[in-house]
Amino acid sequence: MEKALQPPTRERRLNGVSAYLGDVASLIAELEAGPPASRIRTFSQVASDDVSIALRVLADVEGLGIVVHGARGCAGALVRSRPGRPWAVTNLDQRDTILGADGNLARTLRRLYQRHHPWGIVVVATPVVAINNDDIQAVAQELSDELGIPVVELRTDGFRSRIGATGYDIASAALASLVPPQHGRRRDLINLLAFERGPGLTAVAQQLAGLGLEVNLVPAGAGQEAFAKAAQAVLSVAVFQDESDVLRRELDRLHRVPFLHLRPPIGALGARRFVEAVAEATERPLPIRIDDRVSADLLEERRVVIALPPSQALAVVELVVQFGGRIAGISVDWIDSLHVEGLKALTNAATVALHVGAGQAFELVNWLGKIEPDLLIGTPAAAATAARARIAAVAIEGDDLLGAAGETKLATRIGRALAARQNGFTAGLGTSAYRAGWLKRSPDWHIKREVR
Amino acid sequence: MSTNKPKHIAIYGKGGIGKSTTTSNISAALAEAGHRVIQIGCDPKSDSTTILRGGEDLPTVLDSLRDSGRPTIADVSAIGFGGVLCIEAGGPVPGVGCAGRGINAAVDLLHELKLFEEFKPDYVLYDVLGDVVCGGFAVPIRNGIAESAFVVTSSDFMAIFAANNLFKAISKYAPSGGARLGGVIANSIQTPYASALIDDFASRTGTNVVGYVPRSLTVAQSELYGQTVIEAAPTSEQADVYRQLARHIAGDHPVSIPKPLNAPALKQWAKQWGDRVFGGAAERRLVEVV
Repeated sequence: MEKALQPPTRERRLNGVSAYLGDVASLIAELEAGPPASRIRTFSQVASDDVSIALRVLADVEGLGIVVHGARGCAGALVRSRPGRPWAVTNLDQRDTILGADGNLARTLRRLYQRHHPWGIVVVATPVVAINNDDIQAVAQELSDELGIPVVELRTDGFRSRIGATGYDIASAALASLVPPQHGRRRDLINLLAFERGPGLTAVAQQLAGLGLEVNLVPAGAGQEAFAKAAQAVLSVAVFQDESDVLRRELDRLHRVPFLHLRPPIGALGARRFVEAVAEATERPLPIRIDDRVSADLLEERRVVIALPPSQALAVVELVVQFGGRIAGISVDWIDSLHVEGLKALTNAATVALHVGAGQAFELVNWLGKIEPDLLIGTPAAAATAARARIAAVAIEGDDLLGAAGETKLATRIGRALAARQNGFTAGLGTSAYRAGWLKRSPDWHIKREVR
Repeated sequence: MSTNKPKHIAIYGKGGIGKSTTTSNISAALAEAGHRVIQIGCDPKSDSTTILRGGEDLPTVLDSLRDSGRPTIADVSAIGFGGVLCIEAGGPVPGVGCAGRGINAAVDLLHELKLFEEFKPDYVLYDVLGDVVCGGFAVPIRNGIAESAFVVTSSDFMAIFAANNLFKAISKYAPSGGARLGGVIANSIQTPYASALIDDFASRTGTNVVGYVPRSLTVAQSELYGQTVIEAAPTSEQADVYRQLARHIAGDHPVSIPKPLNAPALKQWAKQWGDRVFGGAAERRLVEVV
């Protein structure tokens, strides 16, 4: 089995930006001119790091063992994983940090295997290992031979990247190394790459199955069987390319499974484009056209801010325009070169405000105060922040948006939020958490450009 | 038994420059003068106190951590020449773990074990690994552990380079309560220009040389017997050199915050000394040979 390469950070690989306040056009120009300026927050609230995102990805793989090689707090992201999931933490203490913890890791791997018999184990490195440089690879190789299952290293550290999405990349590299090589290609099999499972994804998979294809869902919810099939697929497609970029590259590099770049299947039109493109690529007849789009001029020129993960946000732009709204601003956790084309597709890029920052509620409140949108469509966290600032808000997540049902769901929630606002109901939870003087400051006063 | 507050002194320098030999001889000279002395080796090699103990093995503080035990002072110390209490911090096996964190943990453990309250030393000497390779090795000069630090150097450029780096660490920590520089110990003085070169470096960095230790066969001979010069050749001139150094360190010596040279300035300074010692012709000969 060929070892997957260690992916670099999002910043290095895709010119990722984790802090920005400005307009879309300026950032497009900056990204197209080369590596963007490095911006550093001198003050930060809270955000997921690459370790916690990598753990979240692994926790959704069926029957896979996870060993977190670090202090017990490093496994915090697994605490809410479902009961029975095989995971352990080596619980490194000062002694292990100073003297090395190879023995501790080997013992933990053996115990996890004896108790749960996982089909593979991923050893997740943490900041502790980044400092003491334990040789996880050597232990993983030894235990892989001893236990007769793949044991692979996932080398993340929680501080190399300021973009949590780097965790998707590193987890993907480890998961790709669990895909065994296969002889032959099945023309009726495609990989649908997704990192979150839900009714929306199931509906998209059903639509693809309607083309006469077997849809292999990886990695969310996938087990050993799905991983075993992945190398036989005729191609891979992804619902959101933000998460799946490294997984699709690795499947191509290691197993020559090509990737079909598609916009997310959000809304009726998006889902239809998605299915039609797959049908064309796999040379299958097009499905019967079903027009279930929401045609109402729901937003009536209202100014909307979208605060979702980047590829979702850019896909929702189309729905907002379709609903008769105008894009006032976009807030994303990060942005990188994967999103340049999506940003360029915005018709009024010079006037659309852009905020890049994960978990920075203060920045969001301040920025929204300056933009004064009529509505925010965003993650539950962003929607809650907007609601406290007395801005009408719709909370929605990736899976909710998929397919025609996603369009209907979004339209219903928008209708409710606007009706509530019209009826004088505000979800404002008392006064603002921030003082007026604090909010008068520029939203980016604490973001500095790194001097090179 | 001393009732005074012990004086903590850190001795730094590039690896292989003679720190442990110098520190052990200073410890021996202080003990000979009737003081209670602890010498703590802060080097994963664990060979700081060897010549105070006749070359005998000594379990390190981190050995006790490796065994997951709860050590006592007796478990991790040995009485050496003149009653010097010898302790080695130790470290992981090469290639694994974090030695800097180990120094930090060892020093913390010694405090937890109330070493200084129990032994009641007059002087505690920390013999610290060459360069300040990470924050852990700077522990003795941080957090008010040592009051002053001495830097051992020879006239070799790399030793001077390391000394300059140590000055950077001292100047970083001194303003917030870290150790100040007691001075430079010029070691392995052999060439005619060595003392002048080290004097010049000290002068340019705002410090002074507190002792000149000539290169001596007596030192090499004593070490072969696993002894300090104070023990093996107490009437030698070299022993007097160490006694003089010990008296300076034991006294109320002045301390300062050094002004390290920046990289270009240090290189320029070294080149000037190259020209002065070898002349411009030497450089031309070197070019021809290359």
